[in-house]
Amino acid sequence: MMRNVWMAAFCAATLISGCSDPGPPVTAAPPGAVLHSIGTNTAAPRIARTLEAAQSLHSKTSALCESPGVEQLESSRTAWRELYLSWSHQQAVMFGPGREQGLRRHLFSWPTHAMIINAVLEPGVAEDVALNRHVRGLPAVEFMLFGDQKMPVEAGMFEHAGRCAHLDDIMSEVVKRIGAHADVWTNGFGDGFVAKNSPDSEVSRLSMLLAEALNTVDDILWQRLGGPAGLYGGIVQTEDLDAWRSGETLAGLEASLVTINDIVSGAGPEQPGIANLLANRNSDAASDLVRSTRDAVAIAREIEGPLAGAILDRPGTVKDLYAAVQDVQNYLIVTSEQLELAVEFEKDGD
Amino acid sequence: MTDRQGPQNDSAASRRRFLRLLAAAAGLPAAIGTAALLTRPTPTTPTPIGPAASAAAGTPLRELESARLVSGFRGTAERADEPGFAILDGLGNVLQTFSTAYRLHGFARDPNDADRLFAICRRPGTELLEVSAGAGTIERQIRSGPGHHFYGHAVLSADGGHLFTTENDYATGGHGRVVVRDAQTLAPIDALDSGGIGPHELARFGAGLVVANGGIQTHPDLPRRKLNLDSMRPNLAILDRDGRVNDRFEPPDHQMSVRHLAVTEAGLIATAQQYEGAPDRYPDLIGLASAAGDYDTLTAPRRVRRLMNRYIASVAASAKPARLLATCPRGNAILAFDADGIQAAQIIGARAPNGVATLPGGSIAAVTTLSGDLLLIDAARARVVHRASTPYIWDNHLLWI
Repeated sequence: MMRNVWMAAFCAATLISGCSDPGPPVTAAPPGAVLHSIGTNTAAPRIARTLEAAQSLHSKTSALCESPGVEQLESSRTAWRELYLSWSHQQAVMFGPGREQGLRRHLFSWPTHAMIINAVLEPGVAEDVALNRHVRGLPAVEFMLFGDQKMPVEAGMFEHAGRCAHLDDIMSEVVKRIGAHADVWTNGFGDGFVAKNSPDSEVSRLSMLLAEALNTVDDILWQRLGGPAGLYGGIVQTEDLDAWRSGETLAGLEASLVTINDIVSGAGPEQPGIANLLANRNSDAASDLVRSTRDAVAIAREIEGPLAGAILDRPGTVKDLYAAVQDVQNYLIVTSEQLELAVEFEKDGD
Repeated sequence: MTDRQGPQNDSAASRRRFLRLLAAAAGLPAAIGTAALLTRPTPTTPTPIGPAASAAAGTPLRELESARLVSGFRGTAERADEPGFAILDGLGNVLQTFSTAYRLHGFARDPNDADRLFAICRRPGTELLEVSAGAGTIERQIRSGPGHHFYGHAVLSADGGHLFTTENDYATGGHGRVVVRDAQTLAPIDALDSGGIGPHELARFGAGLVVANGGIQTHPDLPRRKLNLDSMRPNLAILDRDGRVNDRFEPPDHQMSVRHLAVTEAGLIATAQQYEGAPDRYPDLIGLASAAGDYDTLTAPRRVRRLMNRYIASVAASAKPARLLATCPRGNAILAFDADGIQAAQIIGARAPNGVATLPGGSIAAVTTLSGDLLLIDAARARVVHRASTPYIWDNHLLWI
């Protein structure tokens, strides 16, 4: 309690960006309860929601191609946004065998190669070109539905048989791959993850969980924020951002951070997260972990407008977000050490 | 602010006991066959970057094709947990790969025979391999003595007669040791006090050695667990020609683990630290020591400290120009800076850079990454002048052989 008072006073006095009230002490919870809570309340609904969103988008794009119109195009765009946000929510719970299916690599890998996609839409393109990873997945669908200033999209373009054939081909793959991943969860892995008598040890399951949270954070730092913002010594390349054509970049980032926050703090009242487990060992570290994830979400929410605009116009706020996510990364690394999990941050060689 | 200490008294009795222990139980190294572990060379995709690819600071890149590098890998993109090591040419073409049952870490080369290498497994492993790069074979494998494990690094004496390995003497409470082996038989002949706990990288320095003592106590029964974070006392120790700790430097923060180092042509020792303190602190991580007894932590701007992100993997010194390069895998950056300060460090963005080694000519450094790249860096301009993509997840470190 003394520490919390001191922290609050410090924050108020210094007005340091990102420094927030540490909140109430984190209550301790046993590993089984944490696994059950995260598996049931965080992972399972997100995995199911992503599959529903993929099926919905496929249905909407099929309708668009059957009857091209402004309403159908907007409906497809809305469905695309829902799928992207569902995926962003799901990314951090892609642990276990589902991870090996490489959903990000196959379906959610930006940047988009617009010229190549356009070339594929031309008649007579060889089949192997259409199978290239760079013309497939959600980035390609985003380009085909939203376009950009150089290549705007209109509903009439979906009268083009080649465009619709490629769109249907991609969406069939999207639904198939996401469905296969959901099947892994629903056909045994999910039950095993939350079960008291799981064949996998609690340490093994917690390790999977934390490893994927770390992978997601690293992905945000490098691919979805730091790299495009030029924070690694490179030039600013906002066209490398995920989902910039649809304007969902920032919402996607926030969604991924919310999931990490749910993994850490639980998805709701009486739903313990990793921090509750850590509280068994080190209550101060647990409070710090909770604070870091909460701060990162709060800073992401404070950024107004598209992330590309913020990178160009308000680089300071983007750096604050990067720093907050970096803190989350380091608290998660320390958490894995303190819980003695069988997970090493893959970048740490020795 | 540096806590510099005097020479540490050696315990002759415990040293003799230790040597008897080694002599009684270590025995001769066991041969494990030769080509059985050799796998096929793997194709590489080279990518010259811009006009600088043809020449950089006087070193035509094509001349680097004859250079040889060695690095361990933890697996490939398809099979992440199948470790081994590879010999590459200076342009990143993978010439030979070797599968191993464990992850390797540092490498040492025989100064009299560039084809003869030693590969040391990652802590808390107990294996050390002798490799013939020319024949493409693992000549033999030895194990550390009982009650010991390796800490991943070794170096040979200037005359090639002795092999020095950093080891954990966990049987006697985790004392850091530099074990001296006959470089031909690999039989241990002495065990020196490393000057601290958790000795990691070491290098020849003057007539003796310099050792980075990370300060972190570990035990093989608790693999990867850090046992003394609250009380750790890392240091950089200078050992004289007789193997005595002659000087010892401690970083200003006792949780600043001194892990890796590079000796410059001017005789300075650059150290690369890894921070074990509070997760939201981003301190300076590069130290610089001289034989004259100075040891300073180089003060970096906040942005650079954020890129270091509490963890530097490797450090190397280029000769022409005299610069230092440090890899920051967590921060996805390679830093290039002069020895007189890191304030004006140049930053090269790279996904998870890990090992770094300077190449013949001294102006180009090679960097391996966890994402499979080998990058050639023009040290003077801090620019990537060549990139080769491989399927390997390169582990920390890289050695020019």
